[in-house]
Amino acid sequence: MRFIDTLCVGLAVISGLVLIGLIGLTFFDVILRYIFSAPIFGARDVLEMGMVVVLSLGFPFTWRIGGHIVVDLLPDYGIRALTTMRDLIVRLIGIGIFGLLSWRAWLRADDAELFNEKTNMIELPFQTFFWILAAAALFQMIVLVVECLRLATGKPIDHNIALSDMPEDATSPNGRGH
Amino acid sequence: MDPILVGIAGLILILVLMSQRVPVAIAMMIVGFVGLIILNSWPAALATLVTETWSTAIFYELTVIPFFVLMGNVASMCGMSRDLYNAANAWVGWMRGGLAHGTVLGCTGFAALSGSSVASALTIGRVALPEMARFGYDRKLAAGAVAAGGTLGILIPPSTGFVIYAILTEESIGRLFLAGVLPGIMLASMFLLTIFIQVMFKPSIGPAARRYDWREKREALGRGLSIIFIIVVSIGGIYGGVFTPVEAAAVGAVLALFFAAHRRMISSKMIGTVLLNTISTTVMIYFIIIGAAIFSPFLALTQIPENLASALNALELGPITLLVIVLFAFIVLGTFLDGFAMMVLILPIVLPIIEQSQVPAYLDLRPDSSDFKVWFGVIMVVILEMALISPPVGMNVFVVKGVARDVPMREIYIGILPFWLAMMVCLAVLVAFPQISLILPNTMLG
Repeated sequence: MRFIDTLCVGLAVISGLVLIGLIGLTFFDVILRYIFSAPIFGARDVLEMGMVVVLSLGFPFTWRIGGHIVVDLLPDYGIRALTTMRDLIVRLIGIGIFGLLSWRAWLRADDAELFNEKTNMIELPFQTFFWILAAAALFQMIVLVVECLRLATGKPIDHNIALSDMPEDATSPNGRGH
Repeated sequence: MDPILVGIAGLILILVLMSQRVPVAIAMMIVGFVGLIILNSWPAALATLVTETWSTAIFYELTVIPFFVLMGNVASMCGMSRDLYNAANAWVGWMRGGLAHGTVLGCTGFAALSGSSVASALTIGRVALPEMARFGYDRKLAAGAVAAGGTLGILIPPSTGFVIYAILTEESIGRLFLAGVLPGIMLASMFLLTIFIQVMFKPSIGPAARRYDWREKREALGRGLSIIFIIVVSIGGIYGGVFTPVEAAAVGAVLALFFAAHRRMISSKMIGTVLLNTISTTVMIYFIIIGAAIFSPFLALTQIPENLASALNALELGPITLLVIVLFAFIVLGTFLDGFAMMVLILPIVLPIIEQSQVPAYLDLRPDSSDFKVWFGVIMVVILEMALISPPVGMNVFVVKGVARDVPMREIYIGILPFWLAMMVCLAVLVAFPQISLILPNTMLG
């Protein structure tokens, strides 16, 4: 699990760096447009495809830290076997969804090549980014399978990764929830 | 198979899945996917799954979310919220209840930097709650001021609530941001009035803090100037038509990073923390939108919204009665559902009902007009704010509890009640006078 977590954090950091790059690109696009009347050609194309990378690399980490919105409608069962069963079912549903997403995104990448789908301005090929999405969904599925194996063998799943050794501010649900 | 029965089964299944702690986004994705298989076909469901994920990821306007989230994270990490609170405190802290007033003013300022209510409550709460405790403020008043003041984060732009509403209703993010300004200021004023009235009747709950001299006041204000500069450039840029919301968010994020570097707050640890927080929040919000995008076509096929609208129209309820019922239902749902979850689940059902009713005509708004959707967006966000401080799952209440661990939940809820009532009054005023929400977007963006 530690290897998986390290990989999740590494991918999320790369995702964050890509995001910083996209922010810088948009900022300089604005500056160049206003000062030199020369916006960066294809900036929007890069931004759109860049967000596919940001999201794809970020979702295994978000899952691992329990970053998705979960509604506590009912109190916990209080019986370990039932709680384990519930957690297993949640992950099996996730495996199903991400498995399908990975499979279809992979096939869609082939379609994108077949129909020569590219961005409008600088013609970035969609295929590459569908591959990234497919690979990320596959990795998310692997994360869920590993979590299932841990649950099945009676080991706990700790969502407190990466952020635990950071300053107090960072462990806040900053922006999370609303 | 009867689409309505399938739809009802789908809605029940979503509630069951959510009650079993399936993340809301995944619950919506799986129910939407299975529903599409039943009501349309397996290939259509598979196509929707990948197409909606892809379309959401490359949706240009949505990039406003990670950019503004990063800006807010940088601002909170490098002590800008503390500066805002200190500046407000220096000017109004000497009054009775002044520190609580300062808390609300600090939250109002931070709300213009952050689209998150939780972040506003947390960052200001960490500074304000110990300060109010030090001067012997009533714990209920202090907790109420922080929890309620924090909710302004999703009403005053930039607001993640407005961005999600804009995506769900295909409305302009810029118009919604502008629409939130006056209601945000009005609600902040009502919170100040709430504090004033409480302290007037019971002066002991909010003793005066120390009085700052003019030099200290100027210095405190000066330290807050960087924040004011970021707000003026980024948010003011949207109002002035200089930037699109995405560009404004990028400019704001770069300025926040610049000021963080100027304060020598940039370190690899700080950047790592900001990036990981920003990415997890971004993915969480995008997944909610992807879930809604897969669930919506299923809901449309069930014809539940249309049939529900027809049934309610047949009842011939008056517009005000219908509106009160809908808003009441939202408020009740908000007490146990997360605000975002409530919005993406219920809005596609409720908006068509309201559009097809007499409500728009009663308010002198065209049902298919942008004005109507913008006005309803503001109403929705105020209800989300109420949900944030309503028991049992109000996030801001947990945030206050997290900061002030010695204050019992009961006291926090009692402290919140007057502010919650102020929100009710605000909601009533916004319903009665839609122009409060519409005047800025209409005059500045046409």
